[in-house]
Amino acid sequence: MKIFENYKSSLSISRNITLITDDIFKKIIENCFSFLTEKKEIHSTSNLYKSKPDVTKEFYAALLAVTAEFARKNVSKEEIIKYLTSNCGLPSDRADLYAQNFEKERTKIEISLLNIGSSLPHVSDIKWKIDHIVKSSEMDSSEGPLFRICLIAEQYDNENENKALKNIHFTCNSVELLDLIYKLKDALRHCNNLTHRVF
Amino acid sequence: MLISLKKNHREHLQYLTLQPFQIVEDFCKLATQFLSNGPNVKQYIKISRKLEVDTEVIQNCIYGIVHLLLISCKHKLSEADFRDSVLTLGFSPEQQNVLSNLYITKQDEIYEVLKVPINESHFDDLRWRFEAQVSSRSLSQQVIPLITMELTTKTDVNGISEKEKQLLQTDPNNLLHIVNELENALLQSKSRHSKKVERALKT
Repeated sequence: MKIFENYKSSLSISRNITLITDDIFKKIIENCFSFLTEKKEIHSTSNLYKSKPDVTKEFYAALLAVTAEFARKNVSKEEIIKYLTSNCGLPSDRADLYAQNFEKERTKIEISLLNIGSSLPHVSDIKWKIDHIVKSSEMDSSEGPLFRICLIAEQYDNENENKALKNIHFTCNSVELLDLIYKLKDALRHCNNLTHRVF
Repeated sequence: MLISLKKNHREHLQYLTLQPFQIVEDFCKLATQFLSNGPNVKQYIKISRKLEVDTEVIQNCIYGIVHLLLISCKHKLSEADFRDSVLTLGFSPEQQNVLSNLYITKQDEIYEVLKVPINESHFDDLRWRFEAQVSSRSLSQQVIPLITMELTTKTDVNGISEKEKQLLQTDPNNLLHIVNELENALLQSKSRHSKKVERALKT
């Protein structure tokens, strides 16, 4: 765990229980998990940084980095406690408190990490309507049914740093729709076969 | 159903009614050329000299025939209706025969042109592959099943179909949802309600 060595000295700051009291330690942990999962801090940071704001900030930054690393590398609870107590010299009750909170939030942090990165637009929903052409400016003839399909895809918008929805519109007549359903069902059948084979 | 033509359209065709059916046949050939290649003014001038009339008369005759075909196709006239409509315009049975033949041969071609006044993109093809994302920079151990799809849509632009490809992905759960929704759409199109509306619109 060479990468965690860099954070050792910053994390050991929390050994100083007069600077980082139990209450502040708890609040920093809550802020850390909340920031990594929901992207906002619960407690106002100005209240947490008392006499030495730079030192407390250094600890907080190291805690954020190491928490993301633990999730990234899938480090077990026992290993985390061992690292915090043996390598960083944290009191065991603080290491336990952190590890317990980490286990509770592990899946959420993993989901946040999973969503980082570029990927293709992810289709998550579909809208459809059925139209009949009754008359047009050129012809007195009816045509239909026509299926107006709108696929709703999610994609990360780099400019706004936010999730953006993309709508993909196209039209199908009955034959084209049957073709589309057949092809999608083929993909689905393959997924089902694979699940049976793996599990 | 008989079609009624506007006054100036009837006047334009008037000249043809006075010609022998061989000349009408020649005009029909010119109308066919007009449909596929557009107007050929030089040829019209030549013919006008030969028949000793204004070029405008020749042009109006050709435009008149083409417009007659367009209106007849728009209203989907049957052969009998077309024949009766032409006869009421003052054409002789021989001349009407020539025009009817032109209408029958060109009907499908004109339908194709008139059929889609607004071009929208239609589904063309879907290719897919199954993937499993096993690792990324931000999370080293993961197994995420993904279906990557290439959706091809086509749009008719001036008779040429332009294809557009888009890459998309989804997960098995959403794929199942999409398939269910599309099957539901297909089912709804065959429902009693849809059929009722369809019947009402056709009558």
